[in-house]
Amino acid sequence: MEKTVILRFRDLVTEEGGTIRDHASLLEKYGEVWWGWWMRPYEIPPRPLFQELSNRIQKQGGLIGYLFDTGSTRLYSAHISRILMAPLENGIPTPEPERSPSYYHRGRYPAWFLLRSLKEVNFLDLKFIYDSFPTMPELQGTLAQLQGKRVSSLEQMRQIDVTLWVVQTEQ
Amino acid sequence: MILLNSPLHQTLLDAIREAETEGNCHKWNKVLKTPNSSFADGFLAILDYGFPKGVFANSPFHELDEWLLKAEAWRRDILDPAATHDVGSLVLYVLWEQFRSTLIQLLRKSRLNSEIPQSGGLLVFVGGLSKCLIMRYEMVGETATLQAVGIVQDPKSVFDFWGAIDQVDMKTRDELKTILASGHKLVVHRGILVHVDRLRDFDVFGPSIDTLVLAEILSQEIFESKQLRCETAMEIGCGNGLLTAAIASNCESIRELFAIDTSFSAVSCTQRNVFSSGRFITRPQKLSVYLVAGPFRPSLINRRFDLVVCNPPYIPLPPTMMTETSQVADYFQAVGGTSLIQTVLESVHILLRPGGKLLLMASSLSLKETLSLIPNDCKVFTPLGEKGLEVIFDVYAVLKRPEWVQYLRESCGLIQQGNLYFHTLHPIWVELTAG
Repeated sequence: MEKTVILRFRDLVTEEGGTIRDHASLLEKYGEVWWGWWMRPYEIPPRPLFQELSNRIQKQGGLIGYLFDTGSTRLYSAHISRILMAPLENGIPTPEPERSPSYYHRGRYPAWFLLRSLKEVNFLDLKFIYDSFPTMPELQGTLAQLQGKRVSSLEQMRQIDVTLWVVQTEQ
Repeated sequence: MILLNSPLHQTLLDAIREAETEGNCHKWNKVLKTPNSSFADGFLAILDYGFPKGVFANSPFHELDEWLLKAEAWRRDILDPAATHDVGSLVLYVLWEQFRSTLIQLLRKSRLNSEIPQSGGLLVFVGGLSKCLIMRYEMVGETATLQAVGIVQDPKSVFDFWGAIDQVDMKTRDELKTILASGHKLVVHRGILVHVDRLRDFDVFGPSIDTLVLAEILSQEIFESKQLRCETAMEIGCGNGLLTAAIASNCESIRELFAIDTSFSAVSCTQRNVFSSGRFITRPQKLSVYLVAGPFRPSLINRRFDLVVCNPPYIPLPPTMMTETSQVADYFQAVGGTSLIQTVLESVHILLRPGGKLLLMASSLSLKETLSLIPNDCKVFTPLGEKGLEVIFDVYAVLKRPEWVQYLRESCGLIQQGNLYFHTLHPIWVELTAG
């Protein structure tokens, strides 16, 4: 089992399915695409986690992470080859505008993930174990009973109001 | 380097010192991110503080220029979550983020209002005009990619990078050549982007180094200090509009702004540049901008101003050419003769309210005449001191007339060094004393 992240998203600024379609189309064109991770105002960026994942990427050449569309309750797996993170609270604009969908261009995000692949996966084919909720340290107590437990459904995950879940999975 | 001791500059300098003592860059970040100080020159503060020393002592860069040229790639390293950051790096990071985000916003607005090309070059003047960053940009959707390709130290002209071309590699040389060959001139200074389309605006003057010097003085002595509460202002001979755009955007108290130029193209160019750079929506109070195409007459506008700025023609005409001027094009008139200086200085009492100020550019070529025209009851200040600022004399309309050049050399002190000509700029504040 290895630690990885599941990032929450929804098609809020695109038509239904547009977020994935826009990323997939750039991925096809350039072989890589940037995914901007947004967080809620009450969350904090998990620097130690990103450091850990970044070190693993450097050693292994990448890692598999997941993207969870809470609107359509669909799950996607993605090969993450780089993580960038804002050193201060102001967020960062897209690292490479041509390799990120245009709706990102005017925004600033706390972190960016460079993806080398993206495909829809069936939740039932995978096994996820809750690891931690580092964007909301105050939740750790409330959700302590979930740690080490298997994620029972996407719906269960959706109801935990974070934009990043840390899970253990079989890579 | 132009450094005139503005309060905002002092605040920035203090913020760097605080970063050194406190080990964080909260104050630096806060000052640079304040919308009202988007014209602040953080590069000038770093140069004044000293680089690489103090908070920057651990920097991997030996010189500021080395960092400037590598900043875009270096920024990626800073964003690596596994990287450790010293506070000096964070100071540089905040400055670069603010700088690039301002440039991108300006490019986006100019692309909409002024139809700048999809890609090209920018000449960005920073550090109290001590550096001209030659930057390549490419618009991508609503944002842009940026890369510094060269730096000119203490530029003595807006296009003063011939020396730089000799010292750079072939790739950079090509980039510089492309920028030069473009039909567009894009100049950035303290939050203002001026675009001159050399085909459409063929008779629009500048932006020249003179205009940039005036813009720098306005920034440090008016916008940053707020000592003069400036509600009404006028630019006489607005040309490309850099100064009008700077007042419209950066002078917080301004309510009424007039700009006049004898050339229709200049007024049109000014309009585009004012609206591309302006932060009108976020202004606390409404600003009215009046643009006038036609010759300046002191009685034309029935108003007295807090601030009048003018970069007039200051190149004396040889006696043999005096009669020619009435028959030639506007552009020629925008360059030669000193009649506008005389008109402006003779009308100081009509133009300025008591306590109001005129910022006028003078040149060593006609300095005595200019000073002799200043009314006795006015206070005179020379922000660059008696020495002024030596710059390249590169007015093509003059250089192509050998008899004019000869007259300037023999009678007006135009200096020749090798293949180049030089003169000295003497910006002058003329203040109408109250009462």
